[in-house]
Amino acid sequence: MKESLALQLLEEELERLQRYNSVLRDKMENLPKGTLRYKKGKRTNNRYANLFFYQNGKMNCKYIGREDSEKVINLKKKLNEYKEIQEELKENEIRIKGLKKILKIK
Amino acid sequence: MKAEEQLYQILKELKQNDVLKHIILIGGWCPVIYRHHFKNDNLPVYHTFDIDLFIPHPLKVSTKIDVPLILFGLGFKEDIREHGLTKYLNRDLEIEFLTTERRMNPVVVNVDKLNLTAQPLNSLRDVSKFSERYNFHDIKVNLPIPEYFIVHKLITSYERSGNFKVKSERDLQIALDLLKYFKNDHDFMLKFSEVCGYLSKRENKILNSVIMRDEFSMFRDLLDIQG
Repeated sequence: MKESLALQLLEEELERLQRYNSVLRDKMENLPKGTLRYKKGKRTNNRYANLFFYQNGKMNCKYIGREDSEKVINLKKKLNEYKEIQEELKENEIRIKGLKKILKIK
Repeated sequence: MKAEEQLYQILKELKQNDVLKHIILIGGWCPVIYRHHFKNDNLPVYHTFDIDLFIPHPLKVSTKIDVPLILFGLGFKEDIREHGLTKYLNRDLEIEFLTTERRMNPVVVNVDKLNLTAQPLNSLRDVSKFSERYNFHDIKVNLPIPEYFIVHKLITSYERSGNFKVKSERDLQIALDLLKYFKNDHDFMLKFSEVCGYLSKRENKILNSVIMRDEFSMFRDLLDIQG
């Protein structure tokens, strides 16, 4: 019985991880993606941020604002969050693959 | 970080924000805390991913506390389900809030004071009555007493069906192991009978039929349950 309980636990973990990944994917969909690049102003010492991102297979660029503006700081936070979730998803996928192997699920 | 360490972090954070003393940790993590409190490694524990937190009604919180914000700070993500019931997940754990049933039987109860939603369950109506504070490292956590915990594990093991059959077997095993551990404790048996006295007719019937299973034969004389 103990052995079957251990297997049940692994099944539960797999199911829970898959659900967690779908939560992460939903969250990612609501976050902006891309990379911020900064350019120095021609007449001032300020740096200005542009967001570079892919859309329909094409690279796009969008002006955001001054490096220290609230808009840029918030966007930076969201882009970091996107990357963190992406990393977490990758790690979870590895764990899911391992669990499926143990449980012999395709 | 190990799941147990994460549980400690969550509870500590809830304590620092003045929430912990108002709520009760129920479910699969209780045996882990009993083991800490009684300082006895022989107490059986089972791994679980679910952290179930019970919110008593009425809730004696004077100012509004944003519990989801605390959980987001610990890296949890919210998972909004049917009827707006929200669970909080991270890679290792899942937090769910439960409460007692209310008038009009809502599927989900909004707990405005804690800014969250909770699932109401009638079977938890007496959990506050049978709760005590237990030590978990340097914090004190409200938990149902082991007698109440076992009785409810036995009942829920019977009530779970379909996809929950897996959990049902585990509930039964946890209850059985804890019963074996406490079977020679006279006070435990007295309290166990007291808890059974608060069960509804239906719950008593369920408990009787569970105890009739072969695994419980050694406890039948000890557990004098009224049908």
